[in-house]
Amino acid sequence: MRIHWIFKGCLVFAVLLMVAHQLIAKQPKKNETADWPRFRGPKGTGISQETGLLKTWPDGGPNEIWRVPIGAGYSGISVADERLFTMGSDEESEFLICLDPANGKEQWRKKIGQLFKNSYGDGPRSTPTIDGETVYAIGAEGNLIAVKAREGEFLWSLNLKTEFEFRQPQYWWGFSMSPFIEGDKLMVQAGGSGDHSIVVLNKKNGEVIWTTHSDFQAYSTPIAIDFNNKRQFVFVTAQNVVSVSSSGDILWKYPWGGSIIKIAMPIFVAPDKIFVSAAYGIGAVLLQMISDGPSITIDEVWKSKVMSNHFHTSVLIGDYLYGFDNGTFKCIKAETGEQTWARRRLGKGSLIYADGHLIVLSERGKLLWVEANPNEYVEKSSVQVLQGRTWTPPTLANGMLFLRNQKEIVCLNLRNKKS
Amino acid sequence: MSKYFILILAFFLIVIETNAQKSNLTQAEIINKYIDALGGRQRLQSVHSIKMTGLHFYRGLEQSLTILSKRPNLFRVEITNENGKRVSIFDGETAWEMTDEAAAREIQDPRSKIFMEINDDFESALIGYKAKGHKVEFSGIENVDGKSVYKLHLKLSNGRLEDWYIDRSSFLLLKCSTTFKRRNREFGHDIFFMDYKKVDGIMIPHYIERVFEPHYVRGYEITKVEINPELKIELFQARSVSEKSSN
Repeated sequence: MRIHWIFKGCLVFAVLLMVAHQLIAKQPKKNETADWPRFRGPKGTGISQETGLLKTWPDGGPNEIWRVPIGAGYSGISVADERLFTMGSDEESEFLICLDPANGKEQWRKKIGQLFKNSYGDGPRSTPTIDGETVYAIGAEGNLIAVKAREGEFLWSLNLKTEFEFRQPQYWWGFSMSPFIEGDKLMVQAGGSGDHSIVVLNKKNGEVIWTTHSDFQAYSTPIAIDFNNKRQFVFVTAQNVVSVSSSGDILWKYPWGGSIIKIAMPIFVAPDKIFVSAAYGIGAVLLQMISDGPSITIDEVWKSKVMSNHFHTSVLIGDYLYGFDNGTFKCIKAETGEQTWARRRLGKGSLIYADGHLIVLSERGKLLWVEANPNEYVEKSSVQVLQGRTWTPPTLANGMLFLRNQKEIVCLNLRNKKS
Repeated sequence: MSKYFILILAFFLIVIETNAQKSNLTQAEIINKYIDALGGRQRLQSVHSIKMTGLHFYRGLEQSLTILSKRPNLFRVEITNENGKRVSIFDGETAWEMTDEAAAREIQDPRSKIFMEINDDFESALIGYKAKGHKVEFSGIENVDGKSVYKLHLKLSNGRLEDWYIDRSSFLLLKCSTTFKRRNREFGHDIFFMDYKKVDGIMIPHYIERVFEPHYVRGYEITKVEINPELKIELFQARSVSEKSSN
């Protein structure tokens, strides 16, 4: 009888163990879903997989967790493994800064280089990229550094300007693209002469693996896509949209918009299209990749001024692109370019997507919670979070929203429950 | 069967036609309804000056704003920030600019010049447009930011071409488009009028957005409107001295 109960107890325990194991196994790895380790999030799309966020915001907005000064810079915010990275500056220098995302306390800072000065605002522009235990950052003057994320210890550094014969474009805003990591490779636009436009380095030691393409630098971060089961990396350089293979072969090239400044990232419209957009009178174009034997040819599906992304990239949700056509917030159908709605008064804002909504930050620091609804503009909540020029897009990690301007960085809790 | 089909079809065609007639006003009717929506001819003619204050937004920065206008065609915009005050004036013929530090000089930048010049009529260009020598042509029904609008093409007596987009439900002006030339290229210049509120019987847009090519956006948020304030003529005259010395 006793043995029977012991046996029953063991059985129940085993079942509970199995259930617990199943539950743990079903939970996504934190790093894959809730962190925001690089510019525009885990996949560079501006999309967060987080759910369970506040449906509407209380009066006064989501709960503010902390707010700290950060110094001049437009650098974005990356978060992984309970560390937050951005770049800021003082009167003389630019820094890579590590904060505790829970309370905003500075963990360490590393000098990247001299302060970049510009009439549109001083300081670093690029966003740090976190890759495992290492964080990579590019200062506005082209200093690329690799640092241990935990302690801030230097691993390696080089200057993209001097190393790759950088040619400064006519209108220069400083190095702005963010480091892009694929496997062991770190990809950047160096804008150098010869074939030093696109540079691929060994992320472990900074040694050159290959360089290719001849063009001036644009401010756009590349994307990785899979087309016909082949990996390719799409860059927007000063005068071209150019795709390279992981071994450095140019797969296709599309001359685009002359030498006029381009900032926004390309967007992959699966399975075979690329959307690119720029301001300064260029507008947008949807390109289609067509397999032609071993090579790829490019067709223009549509070309229009309906969406001119100046310095913030649109977000693709389903069949629709949401973004800022200069100072007008719009939704357009990706396949046709047809506009479905427009909203003014936000300036040249930025946006990301999470939990069925667009998190929109106006050019003057107003935060909006907008339904990702292609049929109509539905604003559910809004709150003024920052004052003055706000050109850095939001970051969402583990339910916390991080915003910054040229002076301070702020953390808001977007979860249902106060943490 | 086919008889019924033809009857039903005819019925629907009549309904569609009747609705079309209801929505398709004549050009004169559109203009009259627009003037009525603004406050009516009589009330508008009793207004001689307007002072608007608020905020100017550009490149994410906020500056204080004062806009003065006076019959028949005088216009002044003051934008003040921590670096001082910049004043732009249209004196009826020429657009000028001056700062705290510098005396008036004629505006050369066509992007600034066009904004002063398109405000060269205190009352709307559509009021008494024939007497003013303007030509107006109805150019169809379009859409502005999701609103159905009547598009009117204006050829002004000074030769400037403008397209006006009038809301089909409120009959208020939502958008005015024109062009300017810079470095031998033609650029678009749009003004969007939003957030209309009635002030002393006149409908005034309380948010104005200028969007001009290749990529500029300026916002003008109006927080206070005064109708018929005392505005001295000197405010609309170019000075040979700076704003600071003249105050």
